Amino acid sequence: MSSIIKTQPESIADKSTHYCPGCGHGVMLRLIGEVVDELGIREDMILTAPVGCSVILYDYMNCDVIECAHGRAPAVGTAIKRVHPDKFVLVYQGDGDLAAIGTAEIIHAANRGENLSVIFVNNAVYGMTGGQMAPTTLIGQKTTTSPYGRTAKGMGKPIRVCEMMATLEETKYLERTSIHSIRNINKTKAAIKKAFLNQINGIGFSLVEVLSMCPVGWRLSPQEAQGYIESQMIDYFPLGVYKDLEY
Amino acid sequence: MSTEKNVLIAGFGGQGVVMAGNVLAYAAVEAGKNLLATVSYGAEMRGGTARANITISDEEIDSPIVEVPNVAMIMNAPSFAKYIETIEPGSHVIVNSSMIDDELIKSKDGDLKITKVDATNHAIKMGNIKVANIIMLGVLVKTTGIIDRDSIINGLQRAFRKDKKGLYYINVQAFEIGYSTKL
Amino acid sequence: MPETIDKKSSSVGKKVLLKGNEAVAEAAIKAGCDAYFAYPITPQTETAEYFSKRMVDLNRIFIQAESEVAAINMVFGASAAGARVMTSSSSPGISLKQEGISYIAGAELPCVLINVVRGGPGLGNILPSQADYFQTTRGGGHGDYRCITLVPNSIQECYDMTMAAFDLADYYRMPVFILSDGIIGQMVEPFVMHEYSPMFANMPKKDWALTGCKGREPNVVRTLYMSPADGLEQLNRRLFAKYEKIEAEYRDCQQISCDGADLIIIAYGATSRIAKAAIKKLNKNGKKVGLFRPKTVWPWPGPELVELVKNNKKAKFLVIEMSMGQMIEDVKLSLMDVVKKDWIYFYGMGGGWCPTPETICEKVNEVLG
Repeated sequence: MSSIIKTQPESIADKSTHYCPGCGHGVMLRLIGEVVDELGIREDMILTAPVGCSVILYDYMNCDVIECAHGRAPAVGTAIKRVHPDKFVLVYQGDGDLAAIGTAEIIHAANRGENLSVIFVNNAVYGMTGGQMAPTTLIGQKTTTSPYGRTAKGMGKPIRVCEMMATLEETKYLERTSIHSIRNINKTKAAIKKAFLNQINGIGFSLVEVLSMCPVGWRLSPQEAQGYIESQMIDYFPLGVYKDLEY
Repeated sequence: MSTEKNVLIAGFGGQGVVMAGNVLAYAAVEAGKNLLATVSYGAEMRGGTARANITISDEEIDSPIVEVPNVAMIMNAPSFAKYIETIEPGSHVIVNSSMIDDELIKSKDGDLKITKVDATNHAIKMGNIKVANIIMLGVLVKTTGIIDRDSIINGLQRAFRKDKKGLYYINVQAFEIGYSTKL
Repeated sequence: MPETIDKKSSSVGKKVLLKGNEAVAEAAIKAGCDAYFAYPITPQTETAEYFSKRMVDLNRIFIQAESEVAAINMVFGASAAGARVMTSSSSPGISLKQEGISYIAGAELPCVLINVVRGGPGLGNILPSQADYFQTTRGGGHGDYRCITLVPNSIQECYDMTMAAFDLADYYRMPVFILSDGIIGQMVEPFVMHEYSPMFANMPKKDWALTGCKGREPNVVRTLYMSPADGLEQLNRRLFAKYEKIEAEYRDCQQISCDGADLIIIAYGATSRIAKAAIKKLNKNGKKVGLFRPKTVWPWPGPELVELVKNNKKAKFLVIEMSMGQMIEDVKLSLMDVVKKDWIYFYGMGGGWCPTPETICEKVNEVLG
């Protein structure tokens, strides 16, 4: 065990993050760093960072990074990949970024079949602005802008991104994973690796949706937040592979 | 100003209004003249009248906005009705009598020098209804002397493909028929 | 009007016929534009149509984006990746692009933008207008920034200025606008289609571009500076030092028969052409009327205007715009200390109309009495 903990991926900068205790973004950073190292793509990689808690990814990743406007990372990533088809372009987005303000950009990048790897961190809340309702906030979930809990009437139901994207014929790989337990973290890493390899092998548009903890936004302790995913989120957002056109 | 010709070409979309304008514009370039052209653009793709304005001059053309036409070529009745009263009195107007009623033409035949051309019917006889525009252009060039014949032939070369599928030869033929007014 | 041109190399140096909207596209292609992204809107769609064929033929990048917003963010990405890149639109579309333009300006990235201005506000109409002057000369989006704005009044200038726009964008690392309108974009005139040659002997290397960090430290393209100490103050000061330099180096204008004129018309773009026709008529009738035409509206050729007044203290001024009066504010700011306020007249319209030589003559006669 100790040998796993002491190594720091080369692709991750040697500094502490601003993420809150128990936040899933730190885990995601680590997983992406490990996969980038294992595939040896750090120097060929361009990361598009979103607006949201992961906005400062350029400080944490040791690679070329562009900081995008809210929701526009898939459009920015599309252009970078078209200019440099031989480079690896990673699109990292949160739920507000991908499923609210940037819905058009992700849908059309996917529909064009852009050869991109998208990591979609779904923590059901706007973290950076202080815990407002997200497009993926669960029914009944209280946020600072749904203080009585989200209702379907007037607010709509949470958007299931993988299921929606699966209807687009040019998407090649769609999987929903979670990082609330070791077993699921390992599965998430495998999914990330697959999405990256798909791009490297020219297979096409891949998206991994990761259910992730926001203990502060959810008003829960880190442990309770893990339990919330297990007991609440997975019910509505079932884990699994939604499309894999390699098979 | 004295040398400036403001040509109006009008008709249905699909009658080759823009193409006739193209040929005239290319010809003006070939003749070393100055020109400025605009095409009507609107919200609809079909059903309206199409219009091209080509200003040709030996002097510099300053204003890009359409002046009062002093030469016109009108290919159908709605365009005739719409534009005939906007044309400067005394101007040459070539009208497509295949598509415009004689009574209508007579009713407006005041100060204008109208030349009637049975262009569409003649184009059908030639085996391609689409060359009616160039037949009329031939009449216009002959009547007004706006551009020399060789420049028009050069203009046709720039506008149409010369290979087997190209429409260059039939359009030269159409122009010559109009130019010699052997209709 | 002629929708296609002879694209063989024999066209180079010859007089060809293109619409303004097509000439900007051909110039961009000749200047090495690697990528073009846009969304259709009248009256500029010919530019996208032209690119859609030529870029595919040349194996370059063309994407019809899902929105104006996506298109400008594709411009942002491609520019950050080191490409020469352009987009074009008309007024409502340019409004949508403003967020992205602000990011591009903040990140100090080069790009070329074409605005074929139409009537506004709102959907307005599809007729020519000059009502986007404030938007283009004052930045347009959020934050403190400027865009170099070149204003063609002929198809030759559409072509030449687009080529220059790419060089200026790369040289100063900033967005450069071509401010066209429904007349300039839609009209056809012959112009000489020369080959591209760079306007600067030494173009700066794009060592900031995102290409993967092999053999160097990672490059970061960002506009976020959370605290003033983190660099936002420095960024804005650096931007404005650059803008000051551009204001000194790249103002451009044209003056026609201004010496000894009793009245000087100030107009740009299509309006300046109409004004020129009116001035010729007026001059023939013995009226001393001149034309001052900004070829750049940012940077604004204010010092030239002041210099003009120094040499001609008796001239009155008539500002003509296809708007309710926007450029006139720059004119008044420039001349506030040297010309009496009531000597600056305005003639404009807000409905997508344009003035005619005749109406301009009437207005001039009214002013001169």
